[in-house]
Formats: sequence, C-alpha cells, structure tokens
Amino acid sequence: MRPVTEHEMTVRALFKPSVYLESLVAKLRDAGVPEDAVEILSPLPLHKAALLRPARVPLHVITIIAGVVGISLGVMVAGGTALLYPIVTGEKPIVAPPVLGIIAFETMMLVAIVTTFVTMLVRIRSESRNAAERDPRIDDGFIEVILSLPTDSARFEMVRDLLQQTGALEIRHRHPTPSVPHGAEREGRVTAAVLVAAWSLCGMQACSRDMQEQPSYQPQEAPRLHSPVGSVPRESRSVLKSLPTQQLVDEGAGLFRINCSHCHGMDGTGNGLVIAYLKEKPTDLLAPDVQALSEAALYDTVTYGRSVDGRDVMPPFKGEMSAEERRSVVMYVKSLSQP
Amino acid sequence: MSEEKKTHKWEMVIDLDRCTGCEACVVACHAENNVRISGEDEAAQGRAINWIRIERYWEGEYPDVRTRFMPVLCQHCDDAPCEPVCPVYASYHTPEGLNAQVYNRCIGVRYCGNNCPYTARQFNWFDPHWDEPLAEQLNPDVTVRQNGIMEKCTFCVQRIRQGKERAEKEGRPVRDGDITPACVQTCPTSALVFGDRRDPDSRVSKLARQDRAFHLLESVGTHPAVTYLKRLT
Amino acid sequence: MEQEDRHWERIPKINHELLAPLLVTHWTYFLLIGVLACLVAAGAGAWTYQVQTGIGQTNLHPPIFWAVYIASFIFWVGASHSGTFISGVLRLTKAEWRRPVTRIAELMTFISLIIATLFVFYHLGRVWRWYYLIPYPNQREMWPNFRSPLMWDATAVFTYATASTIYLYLPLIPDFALLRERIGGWRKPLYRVLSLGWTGTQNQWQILETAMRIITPLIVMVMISVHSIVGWDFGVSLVPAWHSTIFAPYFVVGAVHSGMGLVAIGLYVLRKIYRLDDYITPEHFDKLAKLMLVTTLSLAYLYFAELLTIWYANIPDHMWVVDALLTGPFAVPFWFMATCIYILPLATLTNPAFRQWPLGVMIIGVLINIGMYIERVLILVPPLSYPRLPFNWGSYFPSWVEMTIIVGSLALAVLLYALAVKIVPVISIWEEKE
Repeated sequence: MRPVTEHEMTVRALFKPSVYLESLVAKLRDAGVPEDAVEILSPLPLHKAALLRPARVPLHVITIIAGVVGISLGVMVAGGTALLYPIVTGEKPIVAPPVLGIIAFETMMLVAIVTTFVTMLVRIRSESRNAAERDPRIDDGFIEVILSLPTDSARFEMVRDLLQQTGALEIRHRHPTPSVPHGAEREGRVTAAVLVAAWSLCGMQACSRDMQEQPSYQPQEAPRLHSPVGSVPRESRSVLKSLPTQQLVDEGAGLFRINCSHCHGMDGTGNGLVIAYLKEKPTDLLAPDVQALSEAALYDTVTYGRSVDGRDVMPPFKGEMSAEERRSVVMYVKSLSQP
Repeated sequence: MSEEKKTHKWEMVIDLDRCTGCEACVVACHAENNVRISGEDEAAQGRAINWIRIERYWEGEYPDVRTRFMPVLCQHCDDAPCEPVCPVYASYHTPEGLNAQVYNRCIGVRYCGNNCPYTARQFNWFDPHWDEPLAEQLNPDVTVRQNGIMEKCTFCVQRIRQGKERAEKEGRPVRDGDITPACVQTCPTSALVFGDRRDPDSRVSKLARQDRAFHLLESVGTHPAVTYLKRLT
Repeated sequence: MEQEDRHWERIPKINHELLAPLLVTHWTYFLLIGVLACLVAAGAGAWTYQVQTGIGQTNLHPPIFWAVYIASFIFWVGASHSGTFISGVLRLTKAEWRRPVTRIAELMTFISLIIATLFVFYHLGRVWRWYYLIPYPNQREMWPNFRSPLMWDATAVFTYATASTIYLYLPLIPDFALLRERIGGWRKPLYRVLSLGWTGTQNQWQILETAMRIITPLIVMVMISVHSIVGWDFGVSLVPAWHSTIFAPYFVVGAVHSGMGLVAIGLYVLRKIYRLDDYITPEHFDKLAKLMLVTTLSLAYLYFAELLTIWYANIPDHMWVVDALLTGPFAVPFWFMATCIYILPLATLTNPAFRQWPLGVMIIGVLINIGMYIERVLILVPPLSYPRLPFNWGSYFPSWVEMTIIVGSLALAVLLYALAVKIVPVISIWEEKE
C-alpha cells in the first residue's frame, strides 16, 4: 500500500461477501483507479482476490537464508566455542561432527522460524491500515473496499456510481490526516534496555563464590585453638639450648628479614621501608638501651608486641613464629651489637 | 614424543589377593579428603558418601561360604563416560590422565553419576556438617564441597601436586613412591599401589603387567586407570 | 477452500458463540482458580524448602540420580507434542477436522513446555547456577559443553519453545484483531498490542498464510528432533537398558501418544464447560481416537521390539532390568502401565461406537496419560536401580517434597490453561469461519 498523501481522499465501500471482486477491480482499473490504490479488507483470506501485490523478496527465500545463517551459527556455537576453549572429555573429539549436526539443526530451525516470524510481523505492520478506518461489521462477514483517490469531485462521483452498481451497501468518504508513526519512542527505549542488559551480561563472571569460605583451617588464618592461659610450650625457653649458635643466629636473621625488617630496617636501625607511613618511629635496635635488655625481655616483646600509652605500636608475633623461631630472632637482635 | 614422556600418567593397582577388607583405606580417604560424614539415617538411605568403598560379595552356599572383597574407587577412565555428558565442563580429563571434577562449575545435573558404570560418583545431598571440634581436622588442601554438587575420588590430587612441587624444588624428577594417595599410604597389606604408568620401571607398571591383571567391567570399554590383580583359582 | 462454499451467514453466530467463553464467567471458575492457586503455592513452598535445605529432600540416592523430576520433564515435553502433532501434521495433510481442535492443542503445547522447563530447574543441584548452561561471553572464557546430550536438550527445548510460541501466536493474530474490536476493559490494550495492527487487508492475509505454510513443516521437524534428543539423553548413555537405538523413535511416538490423550481430555472438558457441542462433535472424537489407536499400535510395536532384543540376547546387566520389570519388584506398575497404554486403548478404541462416545475417549485419554507417566518413571528408575556392579543396587520411591512439587506443577499447568482461556479464544475463530 503506498502512503496516503494530503491531496488524496479515502472512499470506503461495504459489500456483501457475495460480491464479485475481480470484476469490480477490473472496472475500477478501467475507470483510472490504479490497483495499488485499492485495498480489500475481509474477515477471511479471499483466495480468489483480484489484487495481490507480491512482496519484493518472497518469504520462503528469507526463511532459507535465515536457515543457512542458523546452520553457521550452530556450527560456530558448538564447534567454535569448543575450539576456543578446548577441554578434553573422555575420548570424544573436541569438535564432534554428530554434535555439530544436532546443534546446527536446532539453530537452523530456530533462526529460520524466528526470522520468518519477524519478517512477517514487519510486513503485516507495514500493510496495516489505520484501525479507525476499519468497519467493525467486517468481522460479521462483510468485505470492505478502500480506495485512495485524488481529491477530484468528478472522478469521485464516477467511482461512487461504479461502486453502487456493483452492489455496495454503504459508501463513505473522507480526507485522511497522514498517520503519525506511534510507539517509536517506546520501542527505542526497549531496544536500549535490551542492549544495556546484553552488555552487562558480557561482564558477568563464570565463577561462583559458593565454596570460597572453607571450614578448614587456612594459611594466614588466625589461630583457632589457643593454648589455655598459663600453659608452657612443651619445648619451652628453659629447655632450649642457652648458647646462641651461629646456625640459630642465621636462622634468626632470615626470620628477621621476613618479619621485622620492613619496620626495623635490614640493619635494625629502624629505617625500614614503611616508616614513612608510621606514626611512631620503630625502635633502633642498635641503641644501647635496647641492647641492654635481657633475652627474656626481648622475647616477650617479640611474642606479645609493644604498646606505648595504650596504643599498639608493634604487633605480637606469637601467631606468626613458633617459640623457637622467636628465640632465634632474639638471638639475632642480640648479635647486632657484636662487631 | 619427548613431550609425552615428561607428563605422567597416574595409575593404581589393587591386589585383590592381598586385600583383607579392613576398610582402613576408606577411613584414611575420609580424613584426607574432607569427605562429609553422612550419619546413620542417610547411610540407611544409601547416601553414605565414600570415595573408595569395599564391595563385599559372598561366594558359595552355607556353611561353605567365602567372602570376597573388592575396593572400588573412581577408575579414572581414559574414555570416561562421565566426562562428555557434563553440560558445563565440571568433569574433564587432565593431561596426566586424572578424571577431574571442578566443584565450582558443577550445577548438579547428575548425568555423570548415572553414566558411571562403577557408581563411583557421589552427590552432596545436603551441606556438610562436622561436630566441633571435628571441623579442626579438615584438610586445608581439599575443598569442602557444598550442597548440590558431585564429587569423587581425585587420586589425592593435592598430594600429587605436593609431590611434584617438592621434586621440582629439589631439582629432580618425581621418583616412584614419592606420591602416595591416602588410601595407598594406609593400606596395611600394601594391596594398593600408586604410581606413574609412563615409567616402565615403576612398581605400578610392573604389577600391571602381571598376568593376574584385569580391569573392572572391561567390556564397557572405558579403559580404566585402575588395574586389579587376582589369582585365578 | 472455495469462497463460494463458505457459509458467510454463519459468521455472526460463530463470533457470538466462540466469544462467549471470554465474556461469561461462572462462579465455579473462581473456585477452580482458588483451589489451583493453593496447590501451586504448596508446590512452590516445597520447592523453596528443597532449594534451601538441599536436593536431599528428594528420595534420590546413588545409584538412582534421576527420577521423577526427569520423568516429569519427559512427560511434559511429551505432552507438548499434542499441539504440534495435531495442528502441525494435520495442517500439513490438510485434514479439515483439525480446525476446532488446533487451538486447544497448541495452548497445551505452550503450557506444557513452560512446565517441562520448570522441572529442569527443580532437578538441578545448584539451581542458582543454572545460567552456566547458557553460552554467554564471560571473563573466564568458559562455554557450555555442547558434546553433552543435556546441551542438545537445552538447545532443542529452547528452539521448540520459541517455535511453538510463534506457532500458537500466528493464527491468533486475526482473532486478536477481532477481540480488539469486541472486548473492552483491561484486555483491550493487551489485544491492541497483540493484534499488531491487523486489519485484514489481502496482503496481510497472504503474508500470514505464507508464514504459516512455511513454519508448519519446520515445526513438525523440530517436534521430532526434540523428543529424539530427549530419547538420546538416555540412549547414548552406558546404563543397561537405556543404551538402545530404539529410544529416539520410541520417545517420539510415546510423546505423541500421551499428547493425543491430553487433547482428548482438553476437548472433552472445554466442550462440556463452554457448550461447544456444535463445534466439537463426536466426529472429532472419532478421528482423534483413530489417531490414538495408531500411536498405541506403534508404541506397542516399538516396546515389543526393545524388550525382545534384550530378552533374546540375555546379557545379564540388561536382563536384570527386564526381569525386574516383568516379574520383579517393578512388575505391578509395569503391568498397570501396559494395561493403561496398550491393552485398554486397544480393547476400546477398536470399537467404532466407542470412538463416537466423547466421555469414553476422554477416559482413555486419562488412562493413557497416567500410564505414560508411569512408563516415564519406569524408563528411569529400574535401569538406574540395577547398575553393573550388583553391590550398588538400590530402589526408590518419591518423597513428599517430590510429590508436592509434581502435583503443584500439574496444578500450575491447569491454572495457566484456565487463565489462558479467558484471554485466548479456545477455538480459532477465523479458521472456523473458513
């Protein structure tokens, strides 16, 4: 149906279903009304209807093209994704031809049917007349013929006579206002929403956090089972060898590098890497008052940490190092003052 | 095929002539792999989860009855029926021949459980629970599985990793006997032997070449990685 | 159809009679909706409970990992074959008696597929991760495994659901346009959107008919593929008595069999309630009963072929299952099933007088559906109960959670149908006029 312009008028005629439409259309053509200005509305498909303007591309061609697209989609989805992320399962090949066949068959059908449907929708909408023009009596078994004529009273009279001769029950005419496309804005919004949803889907993670919190004891986790207050480690300080051996000091040096040096510095002077971020400067371990402390006092500091005026300035290392390790660190600190 | 030689192919041999059916392997597996304790009621429903179980069969008529024991665990089949049926790749085959289960991918369609001819796969019907302080003995190297997913024997993959890492740190190849899954370690009669089948001198290769060797349900064609030994009497 | 043959004078009467179900509502309708809603709520509650506590609320246990949820899934996918078969195949063969039946059957297809999809979700262990089944691009670059028959299933059911929705919708467009003119109130804007500006121009008619002509054979092929794939879920596995080449055709025929039964029920009930005796005549029941007879015979033939091959080969793993079915613990449901889906239909539907009796055909439809449901369960449970290592043999009976969910879903299906009847004319008005 070609678009209605402002210089045209619409003539609507209601007919009984027994009207012989072919001759009517032929007569109208003789009267100078082109075929594409005639529209027939009916409650049922009229298989013998005189005018059927065939579409430029027949629907079945679109279906076939869509089917081919669907096949390639299926091959891409079933074979392509397997190649993108090849995972061996059993002795099945990564790309298995029977699987491609099955998936490609389904996607072929899916794309073909959906495309046919969507094409049909678009065409039905484009062929649609303004619903207000439609006579509700059509549903009760009448046929309405709508003509678009140039605004020309002589020709109108002639056409009206012609329609009346053919048996029109009722003839009405009016100058239509061009129909305003409606719903475009809403459709645009819906499309935008779908696109946003699809885009956000791309960022989705394929991993879950379902089993992230494990009930088992994890590395770096604070100890769960604490020793009762007042208990002494089985291998306590008193039973340890009292003399610092070179091996003990070396081990202590390693542990000092790992646990202490970022604050106290590699040389123990308190110039570690992080002091710029500390409110309280770390103690210079080479200072005479520190070196004057007993091994036991140093051990306690390493074990329980240190607080000044109620603020913790050094954390306890009870959880990080065993009793023996803490003692070797103390040995190392003591050895710093020796040349 | 030097590349192939570098990778391992982990296999197990189970000597049925040595198995006494003591179930020490079952207990060891539970402890090592955080296998959930099902309890009496669930066990009565047939839902007790065991990654390795001792199948017990009676032979003969009373009073001439003999008991046969057969430890069955995941056979780590080369052509595993459970793997391709998983829609989300939760079940797949590692290059070292392990039949791996990715807990985080599993959505619990349970096709793999149906398709396993050995019924080796187990399902978590509920969230696991351990009474205090039992939770403290959980192995941190093994994920505790939640409700709704499949699990099964991993050949103690955490121990395989550990063994390989230790060997790498010490700059030597993995030696035969370096890696022992919990069940193998515990077996008092050494009925279970684990090792690299690509190494022709490993114990597992030598035992698997014996003429006592057979595979469970060989006719199904799954090519299991577990070889059973049984003297024909 | 020749234009001259049509009874145009009947059109106002058809309009009036077929629109009546949408306009007139009896108080019992609200009662029915209320009862169904309660059942649906019970089912929803049971499902919530199952998701919260664990899939262990079912009675599943190794080696039976699949049971009534999957059986229900097969059943409902099978039930969906009602519409496609009746309307697709009969439209293809230009069987004119289909006209008043197609819409009833197509609505069943649409609703059955919704219910079938629900059962997949009931079944999943971690249903909150169901989206792992969708091939969507993600950071891990992980895709689903299309080598799994379950992915074939997901693809096929999605295709089928989309296609059958379209197939239900196509012949509805002219009817929606009619309803747009005739029905006001809350449904008016709905019909305005759904009728897509249909005015009945000759080009619109031509496009619609072409589209239907193209889509009809396609959807028949999709229908066959869908239940074949559901059959392959079982056929390609290693489970004794599942691993069989006959499963795909067997499932398709079984699905059509139960679908026919459902259509018989639907026809009878709607005819009774809405007094559509002028449109749905004993003639329709006769034609339907003949089709049911065909499916009964085909299904019995396939069933016999399957059991015979297992019985004669006498492979122990397979025979355990067959023995359990014929004489063992599953004998009672098995023979009940055989009576419902083979013996009774054959005994009754072969009688021409019986076929003209709507109530009788409806009862056979009910029996066939009960029997087919049991048959689905028997396909699942006995083979799984007898795995190859006899140490692991088990047995199964559904738990109250499973039963509540199944009943709730059935109620949901009926509820959706009852609601749909108030929106969609149960008989295609324009096709009936034609």
